[in-house]
Amino acid sequence: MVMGIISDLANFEFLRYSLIATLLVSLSTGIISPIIVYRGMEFIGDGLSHAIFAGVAVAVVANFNVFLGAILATVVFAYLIYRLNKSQAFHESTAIGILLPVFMSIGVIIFSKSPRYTTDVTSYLFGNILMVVKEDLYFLVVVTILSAIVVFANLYKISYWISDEDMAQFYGIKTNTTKLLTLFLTSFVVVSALKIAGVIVMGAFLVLPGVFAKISANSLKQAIFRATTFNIVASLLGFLLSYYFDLPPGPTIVLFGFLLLILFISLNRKKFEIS
Amino acid sequence: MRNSSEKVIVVKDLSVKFGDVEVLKDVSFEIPKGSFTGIIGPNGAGKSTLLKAILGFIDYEGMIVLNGTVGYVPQLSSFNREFPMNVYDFVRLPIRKEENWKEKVDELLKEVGLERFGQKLVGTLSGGEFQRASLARALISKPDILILDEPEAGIDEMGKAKFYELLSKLKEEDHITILMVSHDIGLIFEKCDNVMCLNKTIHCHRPTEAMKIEDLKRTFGEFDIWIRSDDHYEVEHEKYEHSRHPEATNDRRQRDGNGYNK
Repeated sequence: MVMGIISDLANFEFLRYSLIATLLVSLSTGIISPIIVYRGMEFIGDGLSHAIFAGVAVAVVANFNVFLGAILATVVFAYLIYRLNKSQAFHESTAIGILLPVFMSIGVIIFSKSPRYTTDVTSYLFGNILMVVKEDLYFLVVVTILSAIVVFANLYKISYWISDEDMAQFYGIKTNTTKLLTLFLTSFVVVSALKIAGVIVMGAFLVLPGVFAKISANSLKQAIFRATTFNIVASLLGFLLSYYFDLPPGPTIVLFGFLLLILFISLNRKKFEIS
Repeated sequence: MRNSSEKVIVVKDLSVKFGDVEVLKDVSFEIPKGSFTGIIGPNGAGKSTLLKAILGFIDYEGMIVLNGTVGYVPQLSSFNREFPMNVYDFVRLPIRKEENWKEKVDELLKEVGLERFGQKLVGTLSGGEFQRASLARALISKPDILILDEPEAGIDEMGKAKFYELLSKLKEEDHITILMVSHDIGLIFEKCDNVMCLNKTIHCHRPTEAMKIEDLKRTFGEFDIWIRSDDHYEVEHEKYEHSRHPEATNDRRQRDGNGYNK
């Protein structure tokens, strides 16, 4: 069985690419997942994915690069979350809740007026891990390295921004800059991963590892390492399962990750007071 | 007022509005160097808002002048206790860029009686331990002024005693100017040099020994106030709340089994 996948990986470029892409997405989302979960912005992945839908619609109708449209839309979405959250007027999750249907509606309206409405909804929801090309991998590598550099260079600032924004600001941490940086980084991670993961799988990649890490981490750094490890284990084993049982890879990874999380929560029952 | 005549906090004609609601109106006062001033007032009087304006957290009209650096001990609830941060990282915030921060944090933790707590997670500290860690954070940059917002909330009696002992020491030995909001009127009367009564505006600001019952009545309203140094001073607030929302407080008294019978 193992030899089978090794020989297929050697023979089929698309399989190699998809495996590398899965690992890179696991890394980049694993790095930002604890930040998202501790800050209580679990739906940012969904929000940004819907923003991409609007961005793609605008790009298709206005006839410019779809990828550029996706990036612009997520950057605008992230900036609007920042604006609504500025001065702590709305929590980020509220801002996401306000903006998500707005961007989705913009996308639907634009597509409804366009004769070039050819989007494959299934691919949009679950991604298509087997359609990865070399350029996607390059972009993923850049975003993964960027995520690691930005997060680890600002780990202390991000920690205080999450845990006590007022005090962080009082003692000179530019929390608005930290917030904007984190939101933009998240939008790049989502754009780079959406083709591989899709909206639903993206949500799982961004939330499950963060929740897992929260169970027992002693610092944000440790949480990031645990989240990344969780993502890699879940996605690799999910990938193998989908290969052997001929299942769609995205949903298989999500379900496997969920089972892994439930297993760890059960083992830490006392902490969660689950009866 | 006592102590030095040098003023370290000067507030003039301060007003704060949240939308159409006027939270503070024409607040003016001066705090002399080295004094320990307690701010009292009922819930919703604008006490925390006043501190937030002084600290620059919110917009305001009027003038605030601070002659010195400020350390701040916020309310217990300000920190997300689910977040995994150890006491070292929590305390070193004001001096995070200094190379010898660990040495300084160790020194301060010893001073506040948390010398073996450096590696502990902040979320696992008791209310009293957390407030002492907050005090260490506020003091680590050696501020001239220390501002505290209800530091006693959520702390047991033992924790309170330890905390106030530290504050008294800071005032006596380090001559730090302290401005503190508290619901514990008894403790304010016991520890502070000056008391400021606030309810949207200043109703009194005088040395503690010169305080009169009329000052409290003007601030809290016309209801029965009794103060004894050995009793629970939250009683006044309970009575004040009762005078405003009798049904709600009756329910709570029944539930908690601590009805007050005069």
